[in-house]
Amino acid sequence: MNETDGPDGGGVGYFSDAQEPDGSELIKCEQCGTSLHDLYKDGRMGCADCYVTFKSQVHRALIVLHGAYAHIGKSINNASGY
Amino acid sequence: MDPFKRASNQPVITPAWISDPVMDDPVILSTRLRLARNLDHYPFPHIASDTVLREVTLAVGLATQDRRVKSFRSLRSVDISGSSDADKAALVDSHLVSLLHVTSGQHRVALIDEKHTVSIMINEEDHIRIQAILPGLMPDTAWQDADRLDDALSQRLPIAYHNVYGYMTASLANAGTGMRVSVMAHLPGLAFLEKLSATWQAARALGTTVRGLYGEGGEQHGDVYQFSNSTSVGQTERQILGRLKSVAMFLESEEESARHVIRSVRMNDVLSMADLAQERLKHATALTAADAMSLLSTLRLAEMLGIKTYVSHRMFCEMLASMRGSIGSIANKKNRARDVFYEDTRRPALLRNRLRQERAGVHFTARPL
Repeated sequence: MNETDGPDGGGVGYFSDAQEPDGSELIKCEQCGTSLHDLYKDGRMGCADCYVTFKSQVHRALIVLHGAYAHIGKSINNASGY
Repeated sequence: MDPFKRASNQPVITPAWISDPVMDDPVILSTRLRLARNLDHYPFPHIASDTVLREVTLAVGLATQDRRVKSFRSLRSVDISGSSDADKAALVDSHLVSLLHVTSGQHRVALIDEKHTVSIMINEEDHIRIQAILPGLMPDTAWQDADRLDDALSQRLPIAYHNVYGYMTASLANAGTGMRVSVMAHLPGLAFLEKLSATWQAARALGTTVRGLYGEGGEQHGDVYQFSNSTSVGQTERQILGRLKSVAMFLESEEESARHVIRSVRMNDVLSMADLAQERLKHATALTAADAMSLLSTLRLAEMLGIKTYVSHRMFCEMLASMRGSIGSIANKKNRARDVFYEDTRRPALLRNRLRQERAGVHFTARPL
């Protein structure tokens, strides 16, 4: 049982159903070392920088999972520079 | 400085959602809201080293030491990794921490307030999971409680936030607001009339996800289900809260209609089921958590419909939080069979003793484990 009190399996489900591109082992996040292959296998981002490294995959996944990619809710003043 | 020097391995389990019911015979037992947050520049918990996990616990612990902040003052730390399996199961049952949190290994800490309405899980799937859990249908208050803690933490910690995607979470299913708001609904009337699947279908069409008691993949216990928002990007927090409130009100109305139908034309069937449940409880030597809660749900439905079974709302919620149904997932392989057997054989006596107290009019006082 992988209980995380929310539909957290959704991210894993999206990537496990999607077609993994060739050479995905070679595309890696410089900050944490997570590869695109890891992302397709595990469905989870390794760190905040992964959102930038895997931008096109993130964009597509958010649209499929949420029907939107842009956050319109609460923001913070000392936001990190992403 | 170790911010957890006062950490306790002995949690006190009396969540407000059990001790402070807001109404009689509620359909919505509790409302839970959680915000997923991460620290910038640190790998997320599932790939983080022990050193990183420890640094995160220290950073969050130190941030919450600021006693000028009212919402920090009442927080007490619980060293999850150092707690016994029974305590972990009790914390999960009380919904103060998640099963993932207690089974993830070292450097897992929970900060829980004295009233057990807010908690912060450190190093769950995300570095920080702020949570508020309240009795009945109170999504706005839950949001205010969690938001206040979130603001205070955001002023003291570098939170990972993207200008387009919002809060950056380990799972993209939680990105954007990072908010998951859920209601725990007791639906014995709809279950009795076999109308659950139609209700779920309607709830899903309204944008919610339906699960058993312990979330995704969780076993269904006692006709209790969780309904939560299925998306967290592209809507404001207020929009998500509004939608969940509509679903909760729909559930209340459907369940109340079902109870009305049963009261009008199916009372004999309920009476027979309650008799069977009481007989089974009287003679049971072992009960799984699912079986125990199923019996209690039947008796609770009968009580709500006017058949004296002595299963009050409070007793039902107390038992929900006392089942330790997750022990099989928490105990290590070596002790699993022994611990599951112990819990299965503990439940019949627990239920019978509690019912005896209710019959005698003795009010149960929850105590430290």
